[in-house]
Amino acid sequence: MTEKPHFSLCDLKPGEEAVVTQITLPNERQLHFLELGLLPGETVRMVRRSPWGDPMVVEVLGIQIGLRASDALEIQVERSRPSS
Amino acid sequence: MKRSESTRIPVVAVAGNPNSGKTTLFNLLTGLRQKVGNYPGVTVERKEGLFVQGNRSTQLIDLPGIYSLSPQSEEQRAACEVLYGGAPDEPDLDGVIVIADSTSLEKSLYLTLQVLEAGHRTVLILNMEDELAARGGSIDVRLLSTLLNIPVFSISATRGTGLDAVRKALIEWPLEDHSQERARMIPLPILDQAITRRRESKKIAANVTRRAVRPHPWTDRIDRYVLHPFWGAIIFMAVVVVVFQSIFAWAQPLMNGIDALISQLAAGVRALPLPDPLAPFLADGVIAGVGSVLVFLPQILIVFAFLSVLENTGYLSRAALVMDKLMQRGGLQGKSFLPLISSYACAIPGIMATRTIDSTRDRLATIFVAPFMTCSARLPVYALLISAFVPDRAILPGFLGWRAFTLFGLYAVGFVAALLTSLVLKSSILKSDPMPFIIEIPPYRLPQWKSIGLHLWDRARAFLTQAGTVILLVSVVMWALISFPNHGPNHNIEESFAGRFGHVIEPVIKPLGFDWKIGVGLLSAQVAREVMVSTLATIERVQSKESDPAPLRNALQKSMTPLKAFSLMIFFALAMQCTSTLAVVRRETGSWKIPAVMFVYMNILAYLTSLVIYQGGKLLGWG
Repeated sequence: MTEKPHFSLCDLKPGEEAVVTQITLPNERQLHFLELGLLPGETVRMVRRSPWGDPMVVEVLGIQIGLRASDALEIQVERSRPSS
Repeated sequence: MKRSESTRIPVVAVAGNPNSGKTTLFNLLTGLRQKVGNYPGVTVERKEGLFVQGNRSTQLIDLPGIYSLSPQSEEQRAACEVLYGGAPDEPDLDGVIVIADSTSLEKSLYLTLQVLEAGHRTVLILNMEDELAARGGSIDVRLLSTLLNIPVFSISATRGTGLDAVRKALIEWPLEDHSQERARMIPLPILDQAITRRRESKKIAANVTRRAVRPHPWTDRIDRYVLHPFWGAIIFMAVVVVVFQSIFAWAQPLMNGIDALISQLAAGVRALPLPDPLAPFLADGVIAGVGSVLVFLPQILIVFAFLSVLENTGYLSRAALVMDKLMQRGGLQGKSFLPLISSYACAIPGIMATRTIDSTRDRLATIFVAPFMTCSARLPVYALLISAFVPDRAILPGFLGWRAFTLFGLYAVGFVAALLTSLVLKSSILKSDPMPFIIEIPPYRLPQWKSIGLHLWDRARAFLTQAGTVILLVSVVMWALISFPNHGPNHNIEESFAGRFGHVIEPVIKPLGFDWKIGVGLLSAQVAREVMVSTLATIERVQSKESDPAPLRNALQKSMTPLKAFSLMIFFALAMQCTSTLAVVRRETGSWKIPAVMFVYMNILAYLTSLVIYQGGKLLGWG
């Protein structure tokens, strides 16, 4: 059985959805992401991003949030379905 | 011993996420009965108000908009202190109302669950029911109430629906027995507990959502341009230009109007048959002092009017996101941009606007560098000195002249000083911010004018009561220093305390190219930078009028050289002169520590730079 590849949030293209697998940051910082719905198990959708990838807007928990690429890099995801 | 119920009213905290309409509801309930201050020692604003119905009332404490109660930011800690009863000056709570955005229930339930853990009587209010319905959503409010075991109301603060139930609940809020209370420990955030809580809110939200909301129709369409890397920046710059233009176009006439009114009033008082020095004290000291406070209001109100509209509609988050990358180059973040840009008009509303920055260190860094932005008060001084000492010649005929170039250079000096200071601060004392930059991008909403109006009233009152008193005091003291000791009708300013001060510091400022007259002028500039011009005019015993600046210019040309003028302009660009700014910084940061540091740092920087410029210039033979 092939292992599903892991990417970070930075690798998603606009329109793509993925599931968060882990956040490689200390707990204190993880809490900040968790407040706005980014935690392992949640589905995230890439809404839009600038051509150089930073910053970006993702949708989670039904709301949109803006992120820097440097932070998004720490959010590991797993593609749940191919880009629409 | 139980206090008699008739001697106190219920105290209820109001909690909620940012963008949940909490402020609108709070304003609706309390109207003008609000009191604004700071939580002791921190930059977080504390707002409380009185909800009155008939002859009964309930005190409401508006907590800062937060996503959770984990005590990581200053806002969250302040909220925790109120909810867990840690702060000695905080009243005991009789309950909490949590305001949630119905269109993003799952997000809001997290805070709701945390508030429930604090153990107070809690009521949940689902706001924006109109938007929920418009977007096709539906929530089983009764089931939610059962699952959470608390009353839940559905309202629309903007449409005014469902509010009667809320008002009834507030007025009938039972008092708690606080006699047995011990202060509880604020729970440390534990990731696993947080994850469990998050999953629980998801489960509850899923259970009560009958129909999910559709995406907001216009938001995506507008964002395609607003958040576009190219168009977004253009749109933002256009917005900034509009704000700026409005400030200069509208504030100036209003400020002139206030000046005229004050002059009339002062003249009227001077004509009264009062014993000397009471008449001049009232006219030139107190009334002029009050005038110097009021004159800031137009700028503050205009800046805040724009900021409120931008925030209300949801545009501000997008602007912060678009500008974030650029601001990072200066060691700051997206939300610092608008406060800094506003500071180009006047640092006071700019510094007051930094409260939108949730990271304390970024907020402090922004406050610290805001006064370096070349504010409009410096312009009269620059204009005077440039017209007196810079030849009206062209560098690029038809495009650029030396005078405009010099002015631009002065703006650049301020900007570079701000940039370097910010970078140094953020890489040392204010370094390693634990908070990642995450900003909620809410759907676009129409501005709530009544709420904005109340917000402006709020800001104005906060400024007047807290900064205004300091400014008035300083103005009166300055008047006294310039007027005493009084030697009769031909009072020579050189013989006043201010004049003596000028002579005393002359040896210190001589290396910068300044004499005692400039010394007196610098002292007066501490009240407001532009006062330097009128003070110099008084010292040179000339009439200085905006329509005819020639006499003052000529007088200065006789007593100064171009190099000295340049040194003075650089000093103005870098020095901390505006006491009003210091008063506002004190109000925003909760103590005199930061303003004191700013005062020392900026003045030393200004002194050393002017010293280098003047002495260096003399060495090079430009003196």
